[in-house]
Amino acid sequence: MNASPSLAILTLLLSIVGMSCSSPRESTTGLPVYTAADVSGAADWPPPVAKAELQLESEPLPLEVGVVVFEEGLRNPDAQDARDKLRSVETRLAAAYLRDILTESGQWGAVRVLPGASHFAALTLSGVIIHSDGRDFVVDIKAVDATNRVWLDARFHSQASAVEYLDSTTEPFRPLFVAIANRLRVAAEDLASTDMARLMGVADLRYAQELAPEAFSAYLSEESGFLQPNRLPADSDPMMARIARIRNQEALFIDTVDEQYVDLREELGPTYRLWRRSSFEQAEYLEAYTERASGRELKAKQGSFAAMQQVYSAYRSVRIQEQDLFELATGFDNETAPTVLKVGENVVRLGGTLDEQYSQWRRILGQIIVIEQGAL
Amino acid sequence: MRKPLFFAVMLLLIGCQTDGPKPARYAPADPIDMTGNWEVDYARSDNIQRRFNTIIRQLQQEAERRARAAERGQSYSGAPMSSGRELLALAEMAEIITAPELLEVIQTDNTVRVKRENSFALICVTDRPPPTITQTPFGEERCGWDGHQLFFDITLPDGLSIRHRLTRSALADSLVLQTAVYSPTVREPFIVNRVFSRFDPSKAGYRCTQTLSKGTVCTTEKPN
Repeated sequence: MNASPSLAILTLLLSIVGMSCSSPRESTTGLPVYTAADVSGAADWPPPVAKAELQLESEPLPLEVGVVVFEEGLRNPDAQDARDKLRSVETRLAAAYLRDILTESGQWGAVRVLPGASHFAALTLSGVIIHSDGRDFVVDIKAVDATNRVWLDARFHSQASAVEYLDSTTEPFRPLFVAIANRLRVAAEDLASTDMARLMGVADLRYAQELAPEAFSAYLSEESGFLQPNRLPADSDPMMARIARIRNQEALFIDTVDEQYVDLREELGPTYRLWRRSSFEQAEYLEAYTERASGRELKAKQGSFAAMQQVYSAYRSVRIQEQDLFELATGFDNETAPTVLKVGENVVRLGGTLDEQYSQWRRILGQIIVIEQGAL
Repeated sequence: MRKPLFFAVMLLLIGCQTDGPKPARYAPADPIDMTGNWEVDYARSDNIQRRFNTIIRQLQQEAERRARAAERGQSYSGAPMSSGRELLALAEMAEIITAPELLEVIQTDNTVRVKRENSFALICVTDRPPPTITQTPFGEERCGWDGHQLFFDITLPDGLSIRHRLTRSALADSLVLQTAVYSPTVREPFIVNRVFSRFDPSKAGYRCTQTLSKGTVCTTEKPN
């Protein structure tokens, strides 16, 4: 009968004990707590892509494809991760490798790596590297054509195994790039031949509109977010011939920039591969250690040297492994920084030149338009 | 019926005794540049053996006081005493934790990285109000600026806690790393103060860089 008040007091006291002696492991500040899972966001990754054959075509579609240099994705919120530096190299190498795969597939016309977003190609692919540690590679890929139609907007995840690193000539994450290429091909199959012709027309006009907005603004209109041609210029339109010449000029620039990516891959490829392999081994070891240590029972008496040494050693080992990964990335950065800087400067310089050329051509085109309008 | 109540009251009274350090309040951040290479100065640092002996002497004095009180039939209201063996375990842990003799501090506007020879680096992101919390499956780290002191509080399973506080001297020629190690079975933390003096690694006549393909690469060339 008297149990209830006693139990109530007991419960109250125990809850006070629980509150006042709450474990310091719980965040008492309300500040965000970063865990490895938060940083990597592994919960948001799709399952790894299955290995598949690259679909090869003997008859390529007459579409030019631009692969924009990938963006660096989710940065480690701790901002202490040298892998962020590595990503800047990966953004270029990954875009160049995707270009290679698309070219290898034979499905497309010219495939070029673009230093920045542009309406140069009829189909433009952009990517964001979400995660890369030698074992898992996760990217967001978006493919949009000149009419604003989205062909592909998906996250891809590939997981390498030790076997992939045995042969130094294979790309460990090739299945991911193959999956992207195959998905693009499926999207292209949905496009009727009339749509394809219209897309190519819109691509030319959109590029022309970028250069001479006044002259070409009437040719395109937007409907529900998609661009549609109102009318097409005559084949003999001299303005289109001029635009075509400028386009060739830009293609030359882009191809020159593209050469830089080839050089980058040749120079940094082996080191980058070494980093990925080492990073893979570290990630594998860390996971195995974590699993092993988590399952280890603490048999020693609390407060004894053995018990304290066990928990401290486990923590110390994990932290050292994590920091070895950081040091690997730092080593990569130290070794490659001069090359990346050189390429970066060249790209920036070429980009600048390209912009200047655009400006000059636009001015000239504007003058031509004024002269021609005056002559009418 | 009264036993559970008595048990709970006892828990309330003694339960917190072995729960390690209490959550701290922090002074407004007043970051100080600690960048550089530092080596331990044993002459100005704590000697763990001497410190252990001092605590043991204090324990013995405490035990004698209790014994005398018991002989006189008086009750003694002091907290339970730690055992010599548990204290020795804590001192041994403190020795392991404070073993690094060299520190390299790399500091930016938002990060401080304290690399410790033969141990893991203490890394803190300082662009947010303290504490910055990092959790791993094996423990939690809290860090940040507490005034002009940089702190790292590491809470490990089984009640082991480590609190590091790094302070730079006004002349910027020495660093004090105070390390307090808490055990759930010892009443007071075992505190070790290590004093580090600045040194210039380039005076060795060479400098080293970590590379991926060749490991640590050293050169006698002067930097540009």
